[in-house]
Amino acid sequence: MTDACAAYCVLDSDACLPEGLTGVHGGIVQNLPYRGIGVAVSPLAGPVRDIVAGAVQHETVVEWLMERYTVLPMRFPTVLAGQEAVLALMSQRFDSFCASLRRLRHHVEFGVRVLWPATQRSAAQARVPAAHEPSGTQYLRERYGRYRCNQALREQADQFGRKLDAALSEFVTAKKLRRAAADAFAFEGVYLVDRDKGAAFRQALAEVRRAEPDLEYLLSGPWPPYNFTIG
Amino acid sequence: MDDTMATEKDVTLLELLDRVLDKGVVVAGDLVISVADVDLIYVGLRVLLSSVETLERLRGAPLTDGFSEPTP
Repeated sequence: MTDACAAYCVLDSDACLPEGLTGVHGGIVQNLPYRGIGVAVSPLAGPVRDIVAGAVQHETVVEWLMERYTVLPMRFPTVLAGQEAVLALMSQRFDSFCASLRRLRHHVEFGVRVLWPATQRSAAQARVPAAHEPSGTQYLRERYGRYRCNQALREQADQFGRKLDAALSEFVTAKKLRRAAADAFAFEGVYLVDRDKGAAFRQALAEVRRAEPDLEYLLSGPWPPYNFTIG
Repeated sequence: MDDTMATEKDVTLLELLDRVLDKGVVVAGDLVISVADVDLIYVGLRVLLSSVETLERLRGAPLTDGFSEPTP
């Protein structure tokens, strides 16, 4: 029989973890050391039935470790077939893990989403009720109207995105911007930020918000750098 | 910054799931593991749940936990 274990993250330490740290299914989390770094794992007695609860438990462990070490978070669920499999993985990817840990040292991730005002979103998403027997002309006119509306939103989103990104760039080490769905989001991006610059990053976003108060803003973080595990 | 802009850890579940299920280090490869002497096939460490919509679609399906039911 092989003892399965849930893996949470690679960390830049081979130190023992305190006994109270528990993960998926209440399994005790331990750090398996390998050449000066480690991987946090806990025994997994059976299938994870509740994927949401499991994901939250995974994240809880990674965040606890993130406050104390540099971490390379693993996707949930990552299940390995026992300690030998974990050590084989570490052996195989040791250099790459070390390089990523160096790159991510002292950094956290923030997510930024900006939504159009609710009224603007509903206008863009509104579907013109179809006539009983719509003519080809009516159909094309409706399609063209929606296209124009989305095109206008897209242009506004691009303009706003450039402005927001310029305001934040000074405080970030790396970023990944997403081409957001024009009728819902004005902007979507994730940023890798040095811990010391977190407050300035938030302040810069607050200033953009003051300048563009009609939009809706969601800032989340600090997160473990899930979006930046690959350099 | 006021209440409408989230500050420290605005942990919406969506933001969390978007990261934990879709990002992070991916350990590629399939493994067969055994729990309580019953072989369970782990159907892919490369679990690519790309969005919360995917999650919702998969909820309740046995494979979302990463294990398949043992074959008789």
